[in-house]
Amino acid sequence: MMLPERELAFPNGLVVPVRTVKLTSWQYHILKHPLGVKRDARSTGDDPEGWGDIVPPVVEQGWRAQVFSELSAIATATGRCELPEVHGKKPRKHQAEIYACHSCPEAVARLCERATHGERPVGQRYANTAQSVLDSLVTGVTVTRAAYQMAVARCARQPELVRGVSVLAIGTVPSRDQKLVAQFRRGDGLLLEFFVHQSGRSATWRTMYRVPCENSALLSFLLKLPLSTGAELSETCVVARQWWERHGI
Amino acid sequence: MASKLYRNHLYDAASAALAGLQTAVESSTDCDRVVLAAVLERVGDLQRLEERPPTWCAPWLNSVTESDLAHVLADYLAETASWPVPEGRVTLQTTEAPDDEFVSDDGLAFALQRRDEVESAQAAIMRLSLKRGRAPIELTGWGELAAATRAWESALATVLDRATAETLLGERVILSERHGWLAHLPDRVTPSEGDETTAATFAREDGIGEPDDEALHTYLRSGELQTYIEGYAAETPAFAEILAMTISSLRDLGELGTAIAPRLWLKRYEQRANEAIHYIVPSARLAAADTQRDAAQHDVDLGTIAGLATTINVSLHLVGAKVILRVDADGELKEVRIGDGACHSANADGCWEAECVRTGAPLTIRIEDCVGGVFQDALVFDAEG
Repeated sequence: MMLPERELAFPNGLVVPVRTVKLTSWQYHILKHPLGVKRDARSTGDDPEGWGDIVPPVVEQGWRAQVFSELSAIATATGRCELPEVHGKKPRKHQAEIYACHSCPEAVARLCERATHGERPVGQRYANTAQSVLDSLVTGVTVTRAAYQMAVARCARQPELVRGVSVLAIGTVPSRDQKLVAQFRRGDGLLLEFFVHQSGRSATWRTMYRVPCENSALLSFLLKLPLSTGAELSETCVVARQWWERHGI
Repeated sequence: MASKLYRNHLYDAASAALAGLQTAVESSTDCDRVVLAAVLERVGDLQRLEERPPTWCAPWLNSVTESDLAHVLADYLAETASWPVPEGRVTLQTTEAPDDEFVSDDGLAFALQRRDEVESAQAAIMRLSLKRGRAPIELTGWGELAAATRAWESALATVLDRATAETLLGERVILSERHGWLAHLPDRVTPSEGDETTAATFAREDGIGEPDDEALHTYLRSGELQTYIEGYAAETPAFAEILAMTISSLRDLGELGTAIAPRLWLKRYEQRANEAIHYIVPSARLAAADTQRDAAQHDVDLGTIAGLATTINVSLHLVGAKVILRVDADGELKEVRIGDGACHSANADGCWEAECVRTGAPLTIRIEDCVGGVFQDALVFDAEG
């Protein structure tokens, strides 16, 4: 999968070139997030991250069962899908700690890709969603972190305005070993993250997941920005232009 | 260095958000529950950082009703149900998938951060309630929320160790370092199938971490857990301030109970070491005791007193004009004294008893253990009303 589809230059100076995401890594994210192999003892249902609720939806009713049926039928000379959930089983404790996707043979991963990018194109829609988040910010406005946080908080009484927010911020996150990351957040709980290289002149996709949240949790989600490094690139953030011009100024 | 960076980041974020929230607050007279929760979370953050919230916050929060607070607590309670509990042990990164398999994909990092923001909101609500002379536990939903967060932490303790949680918390870790709710997580997660005992339980039994409502209640009622509660207060000024407000509010409301330990601690905290501790006794009984007409009795259980070589439990019995000091000790004592009465050996029940006549003047209690440790303080009995 190529993500983004074309090189993108953001107004804060970040450049995201076209890169190919490693197949096993891409399939892992599709299975884990929109297809709901979440491994959360509390989650119920097929779509714990709510990918069917966003506009446009990434996954539709019944897709998970149909895709799993295809995946469970995969049998190649080199192996089969080793995710227990695909075969209708719960992972044992030691299996739950690591997803088998990371050590999936390429032949199996190719068949997995076919099952998720064909008749039920959950993988393509997942990529389209990522691309739409990126596109919404390429033409965004660069503002200070404080100005952005004030503007979002000011809208706290109007959930429809909060849900319309999109923001890009760059900084470090302790759980990424202090590596520089670019985080794109959207008001429907989407979080898209890239590792940033060469002081912002390059970046590589890391993940996209969704935290379904509302009320003060949604506000909190949008107000969270990675730690600023003090460098110009991370002192500001980029907000979608239309939203900023209507509600930010 | 990281600590300063985290602190500045939290302070700047809370200040900017509060500046925006001020506009939201002032745009309507209705108390919006999302706005209220957002304000409480940021005010609580600043309080935990020992910084002052902006001046508009206190009067606005004072105007908030208990019903508004109950709505916020109900929203938090509903939110806790969405916090994940990973099925496998949580590690930050695996060798199988370097740079890729980070557990925070699961939203776990966000849930931990939200848990900590709820902690901030609770701290702000506690302070607000105590100012009003109310214990937060009296608020609708307070107990349920505390039980829900504790249940989540107990479930997490089987898969998540403290160090990993601290990393996932990001800059918020400085608000909970060493103590706080994070201490309910174990140092190390041992993969042991079927073992339902969580490390969080052990942490609580060991008296580690920020005291919960139950521990605080035990201390206020009986003086037990004195070392734990007072030790935590000594290391955590914000908690000490809350503890002082709790004790003085409950005392003023006549709901403190009779344990002496919280009163002694408050005296030290307020630097009034030379003042006698006042106990209120029912006026009818005190009057009867004064006249000695029917030798009316009134018991005052002072609870546990720490600091001596042996654990002691102390009570006073007012019988007519007499005051009897009874000390139950696990080990030997050298002397027990009240006023001019003294005792140098335990009675047949193993109890140390000394007595004197109550005069209305402060009565000095003095208990000395066998290695020279001494507890001494003065009490005054006031008639109720």
